Parts: sequence; structure tokens; C-alpha cells
Amino acid sequence: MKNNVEKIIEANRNVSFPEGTCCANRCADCRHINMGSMDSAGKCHCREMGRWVYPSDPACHYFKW
Amino acid sequence: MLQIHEQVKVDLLRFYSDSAVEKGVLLGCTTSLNRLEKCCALPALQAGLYFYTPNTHAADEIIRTWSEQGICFCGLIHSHITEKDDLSDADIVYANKLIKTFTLPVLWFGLALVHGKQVVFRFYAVTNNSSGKTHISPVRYAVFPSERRSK
Repeated sequence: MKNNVEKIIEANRNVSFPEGTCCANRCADCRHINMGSMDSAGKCHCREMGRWVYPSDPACHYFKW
Repeated sequence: MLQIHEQVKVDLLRFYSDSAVEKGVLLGCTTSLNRLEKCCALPALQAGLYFYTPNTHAADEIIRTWSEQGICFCGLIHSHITEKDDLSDADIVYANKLIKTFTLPVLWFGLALVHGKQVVFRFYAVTNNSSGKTHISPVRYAVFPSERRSK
């Protein structure tokens, strides 16, 4: 078993970790949200949907990082 | 079933408790791929309440150092500090990237669900089949204790 682990270490010795982002898909991180438009209730304007959302709302299917 | 060394679980609990932003940790093993015995915090390039972008240079450095110590990189865990208690689309894309980048029969992709001081862990097994299609499935885990030294 240990032998397998050593082979895997060898196989990955010169591999570069890929770039990317883990993301919980909330409106705050969606490029459609204008975070500068926050109103007194804490809502921001969504350009895609044309409505106001809380940044912490789960993103809709138009979500774009 | 995935096995996690009790010290790894303690370290993860300590690391994630009371987090204000999403964070990530690399997972490693030394004897068998299904026994997580090592972990190391992976700094973020950027991180926020709902996202975490790993610093890939730091990851390369940790994995290189680990390989010299006989530790095999075999997974990544990151946190969700909202009520999002499963993998997001972006998480799945990243898990796919990882399993396609590294030569691993299985990659452990973990979620630390943080609610204040309380942290719940979920793990997923990421695998590639012979046609290159990626599968992600939840796995149960058990904690195994440190070996006691005999006198």
C-alpha cells in the first residue's frame, strides 16, 4: 500500500496546482450585482434580473463569478 | 470509508472554528490514500465570506515539501460559512480541475460547514472513470486515534 503512495508522490512531483475558485454561489460574488448600489436595507441591485437582492442570497442560475 | 487521523480533525476544527472568511487546507497521507494523516493550511490569493481562491504557488511549495517527506497530497478541504451545506457549481468545477491535474485514483474534496464555533465536515470522493468522466460522491468518514507508544 505504501508503495502505491510513493508512486503517486513521484507521479505528481512536478505537477502545478491548478488555478480556480471555490465559491458558495452567493449574490455578493456574482458579477451581475452592483455592490456599490447598497440601500439602507442592505440590498444591492442585480443588473441581470433587474431587482434588488441581499448579497447573502443564494445565487440564481444566472450566477457568474 | 475515509479515515481521518484524530490530530488532523483537531487541527481542522481549530483552524475553521469562528472563521470570518472561507479558508482552505491541503490534505495528505503517508501509508494509504484513504487515511488522512496530514493537513496544512493553504493561504488564499483572495478570500471572502462566500469564496476562496487558493494560492497555487503556496500549494506547489507545500506539496513539494510534503513529497520530500514522503507525504502524498490527496485532497483539499474548504469552508462554507453560510448555510450553503453542499458543493456549489464552482466547487464542482474546481474538484474536476484537481482530479484532472493530479495523478490520483481518488481525490478527497472536503467541506467544512462553519456556524460560529461549530464546524461540521463533509467529504466527497472525486474519481475519474476510464472514459475520463468525473464522479463526485459523498463519503462517510471515521476518526482513527494516534498510535499509543508501548513502553
